[in-house]
Amino acid sequence: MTEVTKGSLGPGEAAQPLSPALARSSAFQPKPRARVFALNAERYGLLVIWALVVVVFSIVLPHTYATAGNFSTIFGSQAPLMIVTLGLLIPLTAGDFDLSIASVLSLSAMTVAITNVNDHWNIAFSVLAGLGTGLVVGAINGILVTSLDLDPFIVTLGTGTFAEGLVFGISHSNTISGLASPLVTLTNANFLGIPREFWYALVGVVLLWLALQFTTWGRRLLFVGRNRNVARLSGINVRRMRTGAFVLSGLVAAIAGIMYAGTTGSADPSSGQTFLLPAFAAAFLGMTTILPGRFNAWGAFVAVYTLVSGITGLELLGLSTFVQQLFYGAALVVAIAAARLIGRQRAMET
Amino acid sequence: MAKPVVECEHISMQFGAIQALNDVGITVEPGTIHGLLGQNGSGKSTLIKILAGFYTPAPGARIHVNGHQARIPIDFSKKEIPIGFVHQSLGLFLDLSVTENLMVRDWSRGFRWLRWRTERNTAEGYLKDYGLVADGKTRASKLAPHERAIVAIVRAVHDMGEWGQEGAHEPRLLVLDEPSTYLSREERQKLHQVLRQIAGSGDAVLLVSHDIDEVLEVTTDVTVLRDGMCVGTSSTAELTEQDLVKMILGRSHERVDGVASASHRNGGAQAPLAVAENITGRRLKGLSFEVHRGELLGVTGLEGSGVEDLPYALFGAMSQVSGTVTVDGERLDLTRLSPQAAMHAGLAFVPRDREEEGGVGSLPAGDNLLLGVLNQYARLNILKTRPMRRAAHKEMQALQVVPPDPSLRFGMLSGGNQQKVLFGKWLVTRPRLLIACEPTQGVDVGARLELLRRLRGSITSGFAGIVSSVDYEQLVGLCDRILILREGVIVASYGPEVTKEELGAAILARKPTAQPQAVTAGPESPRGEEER
Repeated sequence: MTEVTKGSLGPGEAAQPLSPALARSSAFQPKPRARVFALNAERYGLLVIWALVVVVFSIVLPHTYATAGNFSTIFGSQAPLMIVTLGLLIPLTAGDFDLSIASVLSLSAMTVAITNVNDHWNIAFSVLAGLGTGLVVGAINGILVTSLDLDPFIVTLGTGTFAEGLVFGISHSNTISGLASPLVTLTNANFLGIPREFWYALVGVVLLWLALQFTTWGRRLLFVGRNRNVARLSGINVRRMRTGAFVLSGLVAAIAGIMYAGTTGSADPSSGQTFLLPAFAAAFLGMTTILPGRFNAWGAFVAVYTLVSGITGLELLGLSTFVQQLFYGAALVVAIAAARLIGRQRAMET
Repeated sequence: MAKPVVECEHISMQFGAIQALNDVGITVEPGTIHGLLGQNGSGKSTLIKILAGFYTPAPGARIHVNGHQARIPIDFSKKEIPIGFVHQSLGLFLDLSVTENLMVRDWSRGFRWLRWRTERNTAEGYLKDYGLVADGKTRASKLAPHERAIVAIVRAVHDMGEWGQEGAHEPRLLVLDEPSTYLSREERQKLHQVLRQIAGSGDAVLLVSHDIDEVLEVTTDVTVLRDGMCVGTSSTAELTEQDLVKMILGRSHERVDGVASASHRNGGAQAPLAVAENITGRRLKGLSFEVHRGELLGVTGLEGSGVEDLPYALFGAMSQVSGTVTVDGERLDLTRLSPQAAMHAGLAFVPRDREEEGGVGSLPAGDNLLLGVLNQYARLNILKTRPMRRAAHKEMQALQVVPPDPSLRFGMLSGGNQQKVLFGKWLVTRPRLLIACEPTQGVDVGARLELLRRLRGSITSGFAGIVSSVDYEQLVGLCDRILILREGVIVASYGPEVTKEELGAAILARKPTAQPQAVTAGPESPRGEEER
């Protein structure tokens, strides 16, 4: 029967008899060593960069950077960013942008603070209210985008700005501090020398990794994101998947907001916005590593902490906080350029 | 006395092992409407693309334009070649106004202020010259289909306007690549009026078509291509419909043997597996038919006849469709049917466009293959990846996908192998009715036969298939029954004994020449016969 199939062979394919072992290897023909190296360089490149960043700053700043306290800060303080990035990966995988995540983070943090501090709600109810805001904004995004077939970029820009306005409105532009201690302890107390929130974020990474890689939902989401037509004609309810992705990203952003409030014991109306660009930078930078070409949780993890390690070092060197913006902005552009180049190189392999 | 507008000689073109054009020549005189006829794959579009400078023909080719020898490949950048093109897709900006559509190329260079009233008057004037009264502010999407075609044609004519050497008015050539495929008969008449006017003013039109009616009606000369060769050029007045059919089909056809061997037929003894009733929407006008168990039903017709819509309508993949399909007693209302519901009812659908609708090229072949049956490989929604990989590998081996490697990206497979994976994707869902749209499009010849054989082989007694294709030849010997669509209705039905010639003639001819067997109930074509 091999005779019959010969006509269907593409130029790069060999017509040799197949052994199962060969067939299992991912490129069918044994890969040249150079390609294996290139593949691994791509996959673990960012990890190496992260290590280099840490080593270089540790050598340059042995007394401030290379300390347990500093690493504890690096890991702990950026847990909300890590979590909000995880949430963002969900609509991104489904092919949709969600620009409202930072506002949802602020809104949820502020809701928790106001209900708990001003209205004296039990902290548990405050937390539930915070989660609720995320669900509501996510649902609104999802419904607007899918049932009216609107551009998610614009819709979430609008809903995000609206939510931000709400934050300033309900807080009268004030920072609200004095959150109940259980929440602060739950997020801030150290576990193995690192604030607990880091461990929560790590659990989040593992969960999202599993969900995207090893569940039917993750597989469907990926096909929805890559080609809605294929997904639809394969019997997938594209609308429901996309709506669900927005609801989830709203919910996760709200969780990040609650942790952010817990980290500082307060909520301020404006600092939440600073999460938007870093989250996108990390999501796209993470796409270049671990599972190159896909938005993936471990990639985002590596990306977040590579960026934060670099920024912390620069700040300790005495550069003022504007380097953050330079760093994140450049990282985002570099990340999408790298992703594009990887994509092109892959296209040429065929 | 007058020099031909365009005279092509010794045009040959080779794509790999395929000789697309073999020493073809065509001469278009000023003031004529010249039809270019031929089946799919006869070389029409290759010839047009050579005229458009898109392909470079083999050495030895010569093209004269108004007596001047043109450089090959034809270079349009200097605006010396007075040839304009209108393709089937028309190239209009549907959400822009008529004025903007007509004037866009005037504005493509330089900087000047626009006075909208002047621009609009100019545009409306252009259209009025060709008998189309339209408000320049109307959005192109609001125009009737034939009006859109006219706008595209007028634009092409005006874009040619300033061309020609040394400013002298030389005849120009407008090339129309099947612009009327999706138009109704009445709309075509109006389009033909415009073409006659263009020819009447001393220019020429080259009309690419596979519709004999249209060619007989509007052209003055005809050139027929077959298998990359020029069958002949003649004055239309000297030809009859039968002559043209004969020229297009030729005599040298053999059957694709070995595919049909085991036609399984129940002859309607059992209740049909699926009954489609009154399917209406887009180009479909009330189709009704039955599919029996173990039957492979072919559906064919010219492009624009509805063949391309029917499979999408059946699978709930098209909006604004009405009618019902009853599968194994389960009644599906097409107005509300979603692909998801269709899948649950046991339908499967291999769409036309492999890379845009069938599978995701950037994801692994195995993931594409098992997308429809993920739940079978999951417990509590957690995927069992190892069994999945094994199953995908086994399935790909059974389908003889080369290489049978599930981790290979779908886009890296050749066309034939991609199609096998897509068949596999649906066969693993164990459907009751498999619908395939143009299953061999873009699949090379060697793999084609095997694919069809596999399709035939997969039709078992409890199961049925529908194949729709404009390439009718491949249906002969493959299908148990073949329906022919024209203008949205079923006009004929043939059994497995039909020959390619009979089928081809029935599709091309205005009235089916062969005796149609028992056309399943459906409204007759409402077309009047007084035309032509």
